[in-house]
Amino acid sequence: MKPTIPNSNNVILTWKEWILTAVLFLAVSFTLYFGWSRWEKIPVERDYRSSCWEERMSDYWAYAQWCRVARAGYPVLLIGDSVVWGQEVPNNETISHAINAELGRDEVANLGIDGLTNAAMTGLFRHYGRSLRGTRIILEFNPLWMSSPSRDLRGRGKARWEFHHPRLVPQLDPRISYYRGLDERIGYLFDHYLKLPPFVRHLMVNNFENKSVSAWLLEHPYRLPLGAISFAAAPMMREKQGLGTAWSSRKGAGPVDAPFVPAGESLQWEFYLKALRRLKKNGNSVFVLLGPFNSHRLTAPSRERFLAMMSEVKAKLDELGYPYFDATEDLLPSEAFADQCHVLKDGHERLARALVRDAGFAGWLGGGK
Amino acid sequence: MLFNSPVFAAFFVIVLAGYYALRPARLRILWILAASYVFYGWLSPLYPALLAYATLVSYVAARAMASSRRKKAWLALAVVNGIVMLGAAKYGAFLAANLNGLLEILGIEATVKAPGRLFPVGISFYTMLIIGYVMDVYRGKVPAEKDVVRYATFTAFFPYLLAGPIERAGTMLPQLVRLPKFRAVNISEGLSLFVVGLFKKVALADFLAIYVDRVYGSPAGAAGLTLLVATYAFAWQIYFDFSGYTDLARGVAKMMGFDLSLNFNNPYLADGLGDFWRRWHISLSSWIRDYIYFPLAGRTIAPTVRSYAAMIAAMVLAGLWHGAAWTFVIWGAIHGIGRAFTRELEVSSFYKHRIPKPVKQFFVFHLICLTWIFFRAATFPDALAVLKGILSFTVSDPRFPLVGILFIGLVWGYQFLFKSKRRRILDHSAVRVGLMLAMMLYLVFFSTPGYEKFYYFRF
Repeated sequence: MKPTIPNSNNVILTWKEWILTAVLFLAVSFTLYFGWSRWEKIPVERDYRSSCWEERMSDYWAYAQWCRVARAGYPVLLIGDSVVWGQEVPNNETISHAINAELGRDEVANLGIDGLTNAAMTGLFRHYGRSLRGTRIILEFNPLWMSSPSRDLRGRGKARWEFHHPRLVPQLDPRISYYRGLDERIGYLFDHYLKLPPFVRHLMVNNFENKSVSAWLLEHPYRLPLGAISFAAAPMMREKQGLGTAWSSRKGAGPVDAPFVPAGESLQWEFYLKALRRLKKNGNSVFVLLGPFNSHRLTAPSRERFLAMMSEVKAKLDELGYPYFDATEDLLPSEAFADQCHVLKDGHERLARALVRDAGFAGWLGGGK
Repeated sequence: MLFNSPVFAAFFVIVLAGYYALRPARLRILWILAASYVFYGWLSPLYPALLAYATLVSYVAARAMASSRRKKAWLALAVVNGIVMLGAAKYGAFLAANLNGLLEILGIEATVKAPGRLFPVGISFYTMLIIGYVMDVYRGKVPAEKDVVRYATFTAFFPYLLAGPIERAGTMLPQLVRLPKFRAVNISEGLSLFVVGLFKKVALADFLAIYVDRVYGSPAGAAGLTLLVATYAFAWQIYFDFSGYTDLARGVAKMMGFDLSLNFNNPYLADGLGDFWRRWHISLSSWIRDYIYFPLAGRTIAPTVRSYAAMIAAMVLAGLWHGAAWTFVIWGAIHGIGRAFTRELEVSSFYKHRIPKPVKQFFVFHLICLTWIFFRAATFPDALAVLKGILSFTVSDPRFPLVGILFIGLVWGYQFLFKSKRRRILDHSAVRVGLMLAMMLYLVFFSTPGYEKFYYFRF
């Protein structure tokens, strides 16, 4: 059929041809999307932790694959930020490793992901947590995210914080101080619902050095994009990413006078509760791990504010009936911390010992068997 | 709002659904008008105010022309208003800088302050559309539009508002009188144009832009071959970018049932400079011909001194329209002088029949590439550095991606085939479906994830 509009080329389809094109496009896309998770094997071994770090941080497709594999291999999933992931320690000195060592069996998987604020956690569960449904989860709560209005995502002007995982936070909440434009944030919503873009981003991260194909081709002008694609997954992250030393020995370390946002006014706490509600709706059994948090470093007035905030948090968890273990106060000594919240090997071992001996945790853990 | 952004996709789905759902026609046209102002206001809330002002002044002037004896005065008011608006927004800083330079040469201790920078995207395009309309009303080619809503929709219609095509009242206003009904063919053809445009922009233009920006960003140190390759790459970048935008605009309008004019017709197949301008940015070149060249030349195409002078002046003005910089003036001047030199040659029997077409195409393409150097270079010294570099004939590995060569080769090959006797191959359904599928898959799996602005938004 001749097009009704003048053209300088002939790639004008009739509606029947469009249907055929759409069917073929969907067939290819679905095959790649679903097939890839079978073809690309995650190199899971003992104390596996996600490679979603720095330039791979937004590779949520890979993270979702790890969730799927972890669910099949571990009865309990430990989810949280870099504290859980183990920033200051190698993969075999993390909290999950210490808990497993304490239990004498590999029971807990490390599903930590760096920079996962509570706001981002809601998005992670909503868009990438399909395979987490019905599982038993230890959910870390990091008080750091409520230590200031800025960390609470409400810093304006110079106090605005460029938080990690901008794709995962709610995109249209007027209370959040966003640092990305509205157009880009609407684009993120498309990404989540269309499903293909996160997979394509994974291909970019995994095969094209986290660059667009165009930018990658300029670095490798004589290669073809198809030739660069492989089914080899990113290797497990074994090495520590921090200095691995106690905070007090670090240059410039001193007391912190954090203002802390009362739980009743905090966005991050609101999002944490939202994440809990979503997990409950998905049939998860949840145990809350409060902290660890370096309260030794706080000034006296700041510590008071911190304790008041934590009282509110615990009261709410009691009210909602969530079992929890408090690792924020004086459980760990000052030298167990590398900074405000990250813990060193010795601290992880102490924490695991206390946690496993905790009656609430033992009851929760035993309840699932 | 960019056509290649998700926010536009959401916007357009809502606009299209509302457009076809609304009854009666009056509501539909109001819907398009509101959508157009939202589309424009998304960039800056100030822009729609300026557009509304320009629309109102031209509407009043055109209406007055229909009933007043002082037609010329009303025409002058509307045209001067447009020029002043454009001048203030676009040329204030350029004029101030040049005046200051002149004052310094003359030894006068004074400075002209540059006005604040406000350059609403699309002002160059809608100013031309409005000036074209009032001139057509003055010449009696079209009647003055009585319906202010319809006229405002004509000036603000979002598919062409930001970067054309520069439509004429004679073709566009009648389409706004009897609004098109829903037809599947409009959707299928509009969608086809949209995907092709998106591929040109995202997969081709943005890809080439990375290479071109790198080389043209610091031309002084680059080897001759690298500069030559970057110039070729820019020739294709700007074609893919602007013709891609036009395809997107035409596709969006077509899905709503509106036919916008063809703006690009395989310009790098041109076998003469005149032929090039009949294929490149057709709505601009025909506008310049009708509203600048003919008034200056006295409506003649005879080879008189006046017509040659008019031709050069019109092209210099076209250059200035693109931007307030001497590089654009030189770009326009080369085109004007080139056209003046080749006009009689191109119509001669010798040129038409004795010189093989590929030879003509080769030379025309290279002449166009020469002008693109001035168009792309950030400054005049940069342009000279590129020219000097190319003429140094120094060779080093230009590191231009093979994929880029492959793409350009395929597009050029496609265009030659499309214009050849073997075009039937391309008419085959399987070929068209295959090409569309390949473009869609490349866009989804390999294209840049960012949302780059269109090159012509800066003009």
